[in-house]
Amino acid sequence: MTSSSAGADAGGNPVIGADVAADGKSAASENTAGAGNPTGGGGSALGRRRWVAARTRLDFWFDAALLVGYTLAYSFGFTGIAIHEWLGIALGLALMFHLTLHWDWVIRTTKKLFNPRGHDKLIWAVNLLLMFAMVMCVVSGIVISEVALPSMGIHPQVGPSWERFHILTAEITLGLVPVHVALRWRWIVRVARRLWTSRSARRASRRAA
Amino acid sequence: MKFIRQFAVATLVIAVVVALSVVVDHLASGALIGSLRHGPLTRFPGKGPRAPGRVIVLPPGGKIGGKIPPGVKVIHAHGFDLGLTSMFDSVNWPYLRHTVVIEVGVLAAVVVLDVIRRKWRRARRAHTRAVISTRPVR
Repeated sequence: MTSSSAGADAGGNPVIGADVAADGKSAASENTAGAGNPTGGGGSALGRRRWVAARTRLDFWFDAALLVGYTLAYSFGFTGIAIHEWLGIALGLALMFHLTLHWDWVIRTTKKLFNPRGHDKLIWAVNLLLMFAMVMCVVSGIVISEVALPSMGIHPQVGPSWERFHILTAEITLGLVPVHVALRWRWIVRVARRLWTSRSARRASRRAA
Repeated sequence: MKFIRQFAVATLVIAVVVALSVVVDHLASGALIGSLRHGPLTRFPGKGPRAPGRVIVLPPGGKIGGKIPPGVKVIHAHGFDLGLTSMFDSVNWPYLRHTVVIEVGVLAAVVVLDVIRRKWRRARRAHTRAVISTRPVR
């Protein structure tokens, strides 16, 4: 979920004032200067440190939304069947988008997998398992759908095995999603802190103006 | 362009996993997705006793074939009826709380383990550095 942080974590210290984007490059090269910079771009070292790259913000908020969506979708008894199914389908699409956003990380880490000094082996394994479990969960959920698919005029006739498969994969994802998030807790804390300070700085500058 | 290329690759990877899941299910039980048909018809075979309180969700356009047995509740599901009210019913909140508790528990455990591992590595490095610095220089 937060694999974008790999560049920041694995690459050592990020450049002061510039964020490290998902592919490990300086975000300054990917985003237009001053995007999201409350101090007006460039500025002092402190001002630049407050700056959070647009891509990092996208990763952070999109991943947060994914986590909330997943938590809601898992709580079947809370949401009811219709929301559970539509949310599950939406999560499937979001998963594809998430995987696309972090494809560079996947390639980079896979290449480094046999390097004895590679850092992200555990995260790579967890992410791979999670991808399998999540995709299988979404697919089996679509197959056993009682509301979403029938509303599109499709009425699959499936055996009970798909339902068992759905429950099994859902339980696996419930174990893996928090691990996936927790393995990037330092990136989450760092970005959250910077987002918070950037917001308060923006408020302060507005008040001063 | 790069995004589209990566999206295509990611979609391909997911398609492979989907195919794998179908194979796994097929090997596990011999029950494949099966044929798709239109116009569902739910039938209640036989007249034997049924457990009371059973709920049957009928898909949109679905019809009941035969007489509804006593104790069975039939719900006509509508595709875009999200049933939002279930979320506001406090009876259903424990489901969400249960999920959140599991997630937070696992998350906290992993974070604690990571902090311990980092501290241990830092201490080991400091120890190694100290040993090197106390060695007599030749």
